[in-house]
Amino acid sequence: MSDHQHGDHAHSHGIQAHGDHSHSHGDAGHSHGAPAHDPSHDAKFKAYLAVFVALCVFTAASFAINLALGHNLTSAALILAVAVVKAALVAYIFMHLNHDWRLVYGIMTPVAILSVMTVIILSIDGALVWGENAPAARGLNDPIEAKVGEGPSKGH
Amino acid sequence: MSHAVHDEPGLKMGMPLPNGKLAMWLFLVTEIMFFTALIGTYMILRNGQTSAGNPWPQPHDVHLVEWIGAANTFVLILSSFFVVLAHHYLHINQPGKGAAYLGLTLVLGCVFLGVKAIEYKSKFEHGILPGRVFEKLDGPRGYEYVAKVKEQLKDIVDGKHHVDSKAMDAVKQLLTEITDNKLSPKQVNERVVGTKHVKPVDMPSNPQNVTGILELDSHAPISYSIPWGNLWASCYFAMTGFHALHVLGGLVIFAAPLVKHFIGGGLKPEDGLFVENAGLYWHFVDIVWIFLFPLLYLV
Repeated sequence: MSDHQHGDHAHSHGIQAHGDHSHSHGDAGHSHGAPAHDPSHDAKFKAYLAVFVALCVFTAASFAINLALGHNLTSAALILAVAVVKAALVAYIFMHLNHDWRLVYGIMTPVAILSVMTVIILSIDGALVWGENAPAARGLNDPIEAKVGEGPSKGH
Repeated sequence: MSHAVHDEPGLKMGMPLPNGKLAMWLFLVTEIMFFTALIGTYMILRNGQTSAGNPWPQPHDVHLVEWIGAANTFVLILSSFFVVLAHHYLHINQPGKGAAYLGLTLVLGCVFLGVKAIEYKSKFEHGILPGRVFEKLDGPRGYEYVAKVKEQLKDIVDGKHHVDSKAMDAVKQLLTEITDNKLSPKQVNERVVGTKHVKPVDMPSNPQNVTGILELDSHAPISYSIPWGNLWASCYFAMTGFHALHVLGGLVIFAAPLVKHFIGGGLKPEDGLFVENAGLYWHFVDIVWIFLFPLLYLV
């Protein structure tokens, strides 16, 4: 982090915060008023456009998965995985975390762990204990009873 | 010598971010916790009590239309793209274009809220509100359900509501049987939705294999049982309502630079940080919807 604090302050947004000067993301990597024909601006525009198109495609993909597979655990897992990718794209490119992560990881890491762990813990509980495929949902209240219901194991 | 001392980096605590941007990220951290709590609660409620015989409502049970949700997702994604472009053009000293994209973002936010209002209206019209949905027909709520259906059937027969001619005979017959006290609440629900659409928990002890009035006219204004419907409605309105409030907040934030551009002397590249921070907030609102859309409409 010390490289941000070396006095390399030309990279701020033009607004300086009480001595803390933003390196910030690449979009603001130069002073405002940079010439419009800078090739790096075209590259950024193309990156934003590519992310937008990808988000549209992923949204359509979620819709198609739902139509093709209906409501079950497989389609739910696929659709939510697509949502995670979409959210990551927005955060990484649109919110400039590709450049700013090194500046905000200290405040983002704990809450990221909290949110991800919350979802994982609740998903495991829902899928294995209470979900529609769980023994109780099939009318078998006891896991041992569920095994009995399946009949003798083929392996023995 | 003094030059060397000046260049010596000192120990420093804190992040090299402008104060406004740091504040926005800290705010977003609290927002992540807020929506994680809402979504986590939804997951617990949805998975914790439902079963194969008494499942969570499907989107069509509660008048949710998947393509409308997908269209609204597209609207928010496009608005996020426009915010990035607004910041981009402001940054390269083209404030006119920046303001134009901010204006388009504002319009798209209004479109999102308009579509949401249409969806809410549909829920209100069908009585899909917390505490208003009919379920658990075994108990006293079942007799309230029969009384409600009787009232709705009378309105149809009296011509206050129109139904397809194919459904009219079934409406009249059901009204007669309810008036004669021949049917239990579960049997009334069976006549309304049709035997093949009755949820296992609502199946009468002697199913009649009938075609439902709603199968003959899906727009007939007659209530039917939706197991877990009240809980679904609570979750739906809590999550989408808070999200819509955030969208509304975003519109207010975006209005500020537009006002400055049109009546306050014009936007300047120095306003880029405000637009960037507003964009961070808007992208977060977009990310929340990216998860709410599949959780409510698809999964």
